[in-house]
Amino acid sequence: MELKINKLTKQYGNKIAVDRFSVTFTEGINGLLGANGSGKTTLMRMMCDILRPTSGEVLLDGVNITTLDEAYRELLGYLPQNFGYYPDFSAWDFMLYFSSLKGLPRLTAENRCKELLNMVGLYEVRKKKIKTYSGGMRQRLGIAQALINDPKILILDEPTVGLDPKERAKFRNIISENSTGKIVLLSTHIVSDVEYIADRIMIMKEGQLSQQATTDRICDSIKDFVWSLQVAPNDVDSYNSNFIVSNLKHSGEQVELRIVSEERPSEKAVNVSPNLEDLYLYHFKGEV
Amino acid sequence: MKDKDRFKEVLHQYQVPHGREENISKTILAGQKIMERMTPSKTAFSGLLREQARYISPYLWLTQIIAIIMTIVLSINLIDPYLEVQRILFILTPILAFFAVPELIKSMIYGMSELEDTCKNSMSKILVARLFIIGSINLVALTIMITFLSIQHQIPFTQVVLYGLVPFNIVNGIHLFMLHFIKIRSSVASISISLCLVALMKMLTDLSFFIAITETIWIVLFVVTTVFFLIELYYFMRGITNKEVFIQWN
Ligand SMILES: Nc1ncnc2c1ncn2[C@@H]1O[C@H](COP(=O)(O)OP(=O)(O)O)[C@@H](O)[C@H]1O
Ligand SMILES: [Mg+2]
Repeated sequence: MELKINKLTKQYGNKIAVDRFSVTFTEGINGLLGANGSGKTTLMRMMCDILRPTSGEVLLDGVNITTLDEAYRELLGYLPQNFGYYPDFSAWDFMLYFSSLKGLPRLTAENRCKELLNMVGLYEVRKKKIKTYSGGMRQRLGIAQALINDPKILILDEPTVGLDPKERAKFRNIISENSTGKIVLLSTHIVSDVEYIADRIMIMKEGQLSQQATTDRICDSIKDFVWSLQVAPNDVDSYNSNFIVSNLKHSGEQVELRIVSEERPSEKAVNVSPNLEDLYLYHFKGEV
Repeated sequence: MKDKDRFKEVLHQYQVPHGREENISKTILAGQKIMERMTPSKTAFSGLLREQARYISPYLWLTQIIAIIMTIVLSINLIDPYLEVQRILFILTPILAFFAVPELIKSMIYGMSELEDTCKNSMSKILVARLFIIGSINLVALTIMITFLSIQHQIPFTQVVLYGLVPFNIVNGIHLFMLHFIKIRSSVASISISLCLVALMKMLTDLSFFIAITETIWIVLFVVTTVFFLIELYYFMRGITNKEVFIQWN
């Protein structure tokens, strides 16, 4: 299975939200990393066929998803960045409602919903109204909903928003466990969300794909650009304004800086191995 | 064939122990589960109707009942049946239609459209199903009201139909028309429109020209309002295919 995005573009007035984005997804977990406003949501909506591209196309095994229509949606699971619910819905109603829209027979639906709600830890409170849920619980419900039809293509837009650290860890496990044989795409602006579970990482900037690689190779591009340096506390400000400082640690009289820079920031600076956070800062320096 | 025989022969050389009853049933159940999951699947439109009908707001049902009861109550002892039947229908059809459009567009009101639109049975199908259900409920209630009034006051059925459908078309047409201008994102907004329409229709009946409407004009009004309503319905349905209208923008 191959999901190919071909020069996908979306323009709002004279604002180009997604700009000739081309990439090919195969099975595995793909992390889409980008600052707010970089076009992640717009891209994902087009991949779900709910937003019409200005130009370009999305092809599943060579066929345009708009042509596939229902057959495509049958394979699709989607968690939007924001979603609502009908005022009187309980989690159980919500799940059964979407099961019916996804075309599951009632009995299958009930078994499946039970299984999923158990997985996200909401089965005990399934009869409670959604409006009484916390943000994290709603988000978990959204994740459960996306998995109802055992989708082969799973698109999650900022799935970890509102989750506490424990829930985040749980979420990563759920996605890892449910990703075999699937194309999973998850967007985030939080590096640690994808660092552990993504097979591939894409960095999106101003609507364009600015970098993509497997997770273990993604940092190669900046491998000579990350430095560690001990400075006096008085000098910190000047480094802060001239360089991207990705970390700052007080050690005794000195301050240890971690700097992302193409040039050696100082004679005393030593090269260290980069991490995803450095890479993110390298790409989005102006925007943080 | 020969291979098969040989195969059997080999198999029969061994004594196969009988499986435990519970394990056998477990296997069967597991198999059943897998088969259920594989049930593929065009959802029949009737199935979709049934599912959507289950989720129609109880308030919509309630307004139908209220409208019918009020028809009966208000139609006792009329002095000038023709005029007053017209008035009653102008006042009661907006109640009938009170939750019709809000219910139809509830996906947008409650921010469910993006989710619903990515399900196998897409938004357009869901909306057609909803339209069908709500339309049927409304028309059945209206028919009951019209039939009742027509029999009660011995006014020809065809005439009462006009008196009922004209306001029905106007109210629903205007409500759909409003959707061109405002993106309704809350139930309050939608219900306010319904309230305004109730008031508007009441005001119409108080105008002096209302009394002067002749039978011919009723027919003209019927044709004009029907066309208006159908055009609005067409635009609404067409808007659905241009999906972007319905997804929220964060
Ligand atoms: N419906 C819209 N109308 C106008 N501009 C939009 C619309 N949707 C998104 N945009 C713009 O497109 C850009 C990308 O937005 P979005 O895809 O939501 O980014 P992200 O999800 O990465 O935060 C933003 O600058 C946003 O302002
Ligand atoms: Mg977004």
